[in-house]
Amino acid sequence: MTHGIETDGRCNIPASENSTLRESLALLGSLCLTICANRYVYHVHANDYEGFVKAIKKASTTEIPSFIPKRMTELAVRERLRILMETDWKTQAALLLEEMKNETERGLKPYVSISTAISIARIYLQPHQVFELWNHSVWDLFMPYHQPSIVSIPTWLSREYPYSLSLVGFVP
Amino acid sequence: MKDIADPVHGVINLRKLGPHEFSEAVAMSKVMIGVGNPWWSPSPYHALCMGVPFLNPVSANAFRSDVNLLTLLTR
Repeated sequence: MTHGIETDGRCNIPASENSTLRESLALLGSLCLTICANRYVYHVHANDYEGFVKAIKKASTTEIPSFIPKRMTELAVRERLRILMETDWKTQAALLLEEMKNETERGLKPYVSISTAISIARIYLQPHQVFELWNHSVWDLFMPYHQPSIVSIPTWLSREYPYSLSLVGFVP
Repeated sequence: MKDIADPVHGVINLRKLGPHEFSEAVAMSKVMIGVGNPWWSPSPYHALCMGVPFLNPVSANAFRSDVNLLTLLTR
């Protein structure tokens, strides 16, 4: 038993062993905290005044340096944007379309997700065609009881595909 | 809850704060001390994001090996 909890929920680490793991297991919340910021979370027993003061002293003297995950830096965002703008999506869409055609010819049913369909449609069709396609296929699939109106966007679509909002700008 | 405010000795009760005021108060703090309620509070994470260390008080019961931790957690 390496993780310290028996199948009946009892902790199998001896109480005398005042380990971080034991403390972490004491409360699942503190386990999360310990994983997130091991050095900056101080566990203190209830009614332990000396430990309390010691922990506060240590906490107020230990500096917490700035931490930004690599993929959250401005440089990383720029790089992602660059990839988004500089990738030749049209060629990739053509390849994907070709692949799907081949699969269909071989009698297979290619998997086409809604996002794929919309992306391909956005590249290959005129805006009003996209709107019609979306109107007829997607709407019928998910909201068969609704009368589609031009001004209202289904919330599930606008939430998951914010880009599809631009489709609504073109009314046939 | 017992009011332990003692302004003469620096124990100040800030009363209820809005989210913005709370953030400001946390940002100005040296350390955040948990009071154990609620058990799953976002405040420690909030504090750590602002570079404020968190002091986590652990009840004595949780350290007893004969206490079922899962029942303790669900209480």
